[in-house]
Amino acid sequence: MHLAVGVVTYHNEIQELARFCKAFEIAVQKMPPHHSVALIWIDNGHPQKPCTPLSQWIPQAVCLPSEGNVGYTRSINRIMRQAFEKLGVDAFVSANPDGAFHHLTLENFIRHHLSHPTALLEAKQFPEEHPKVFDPQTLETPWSSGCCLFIPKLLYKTIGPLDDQFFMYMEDVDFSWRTRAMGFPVKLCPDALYAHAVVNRSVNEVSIHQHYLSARYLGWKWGHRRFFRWAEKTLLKKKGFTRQTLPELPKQRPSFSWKQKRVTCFGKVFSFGERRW
Amino acid sequence: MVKGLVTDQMSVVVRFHDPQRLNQLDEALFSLSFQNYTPIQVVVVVQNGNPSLIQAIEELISKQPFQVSTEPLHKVLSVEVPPSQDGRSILLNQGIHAANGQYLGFLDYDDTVYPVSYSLLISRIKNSGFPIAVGGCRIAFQRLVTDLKGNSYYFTKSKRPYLSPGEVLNKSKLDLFLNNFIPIHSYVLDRKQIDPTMIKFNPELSCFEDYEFLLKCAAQYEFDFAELATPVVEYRIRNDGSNTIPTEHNNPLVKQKWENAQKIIDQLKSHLLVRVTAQELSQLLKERHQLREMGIFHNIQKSGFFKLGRRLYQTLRKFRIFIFRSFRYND
Repeated sequence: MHLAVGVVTYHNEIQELARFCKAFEIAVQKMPPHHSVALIWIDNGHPQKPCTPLSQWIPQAVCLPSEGNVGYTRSINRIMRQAFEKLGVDAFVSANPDGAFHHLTLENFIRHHLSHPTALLEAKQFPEEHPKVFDPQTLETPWSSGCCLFIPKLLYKTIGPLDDQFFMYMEDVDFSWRTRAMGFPVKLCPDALYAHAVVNRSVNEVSIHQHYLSARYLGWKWGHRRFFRWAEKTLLKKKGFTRQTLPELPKQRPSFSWKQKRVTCFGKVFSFGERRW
Repeated sequence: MVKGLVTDQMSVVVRFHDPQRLNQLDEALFSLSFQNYTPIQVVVVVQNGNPSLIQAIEELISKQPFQVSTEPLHKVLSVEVPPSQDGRSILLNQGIHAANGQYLGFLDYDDTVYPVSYSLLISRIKNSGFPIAVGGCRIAFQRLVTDLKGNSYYFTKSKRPYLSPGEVLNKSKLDLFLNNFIPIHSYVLDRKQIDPTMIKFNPELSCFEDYEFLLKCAAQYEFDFAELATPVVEYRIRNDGSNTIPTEHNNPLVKQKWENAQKIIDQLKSHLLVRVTAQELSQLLKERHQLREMGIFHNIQKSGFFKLGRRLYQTLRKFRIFIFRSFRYND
């Protein structure tokens, strides 16, 4: 099986990247010899403050030319296109550069993929896993986090890339819903761990703005007026936006049938589903 | 002060005694490798480990993305413990002996630490100047489940803070003399500030060994509790009885063990001299006075809520014993 791991860096610290690369190398070494993994990355950081190239640790890493800070989604889509259309990989793994693979993650991803070839797979975040619900038997979950996500070729061909109207955040929720709306399962792999610091993480104002902007678009896209209005109202009243500064929405809204819309869950604010804690 | 300590190095002693649970040790080591703080030295102490087990653990360590270092930092030791004996304190003592970092922490193989843990606690030690910094803990309730493909794994059902927000606010070092509220993996010691003879667990104890150690430390040193509300570690409770701490209180042998340990703790409390500041003492006396003024004793005895009242009454009784017996007013 031929895999590609895609990473979008943005002003990441050198220690973070060194740790990511070391963990990646170990995880690749652990895989059976008939599998191969390529690493593709783009730096979204300021051209005058670029990240340390990943090729410093992994010489085979493929670097795509930076287009500046065009958003996480647009860059990860470029990487995905490169992986599926130019390298012809069988599956793509998106990974956050501030995390680290467990040595068995890629191997376990492949094992789960072979059992569920049409499923969108999510790694379990570690040591603090995401509190959203999942079925302990079927492993199905309402949506999967893009922190470490396994996308098989079949899904990419059927669902398409991530929606790059999302600058960052919630593109994973939207992609998961589209996957489920098309009848494919979304599963969490409890034995594929991905280290990611979520507890005690400082949240800056820019990322809060981005959350609400994404929420506004997500609500609009899936035709959930209340959620859309709530996000827009928050941006206007509390986040310093005006009608003029709010990003323009696309002219045409994608059409989803009422049956497809049943996969969504807007009632839980940014959880998009029930939580275990 | 101990000679040969590596300045700024964090050493973590991980005790391990069940070869069937290498996957849990793997997770504990993975959480250590993902720490923001560097350098970290891991000392895994194995109870009666054979060479193949030691090799397996060494391989497990080499598979973790620890910061690259020029010398082999991590150690795996095997300690012979008679099968009839519970070696948890002996393992810790051997680990302490082998660890050479300025900062010292402990971790059971079935628990995990959050990425900020050591950087946060060490910064507290540096800021406050106290030799011990304590962080918050979360409890994860897990159950062993099998998915449709027949793979078994631990499913985390829920999580909650070890101490409620209200409890966190009121905790001080003196509360330790009532009961232990500090899990063994939620604190860091600065060995340069602590008498090396103090950093030792009582080998006679197989329960409450960590409590006894903390009581002795609390008697002499200051604790920093500024980050008690910040979760830095996770304590996992599983439904299959695989926890390192025996909890089957219905088993007479286990019950006996806990009772014996409790006696040793009570004995220690009866003669332990505690250094407290005059401010702490006055605060304590003030609180006690306030409780009396509120007539809580009287109300509890008369109230219909026997269960609640009785528990509160017992706590307050311990509180009173603590004031009059554990303290010698030497400050």
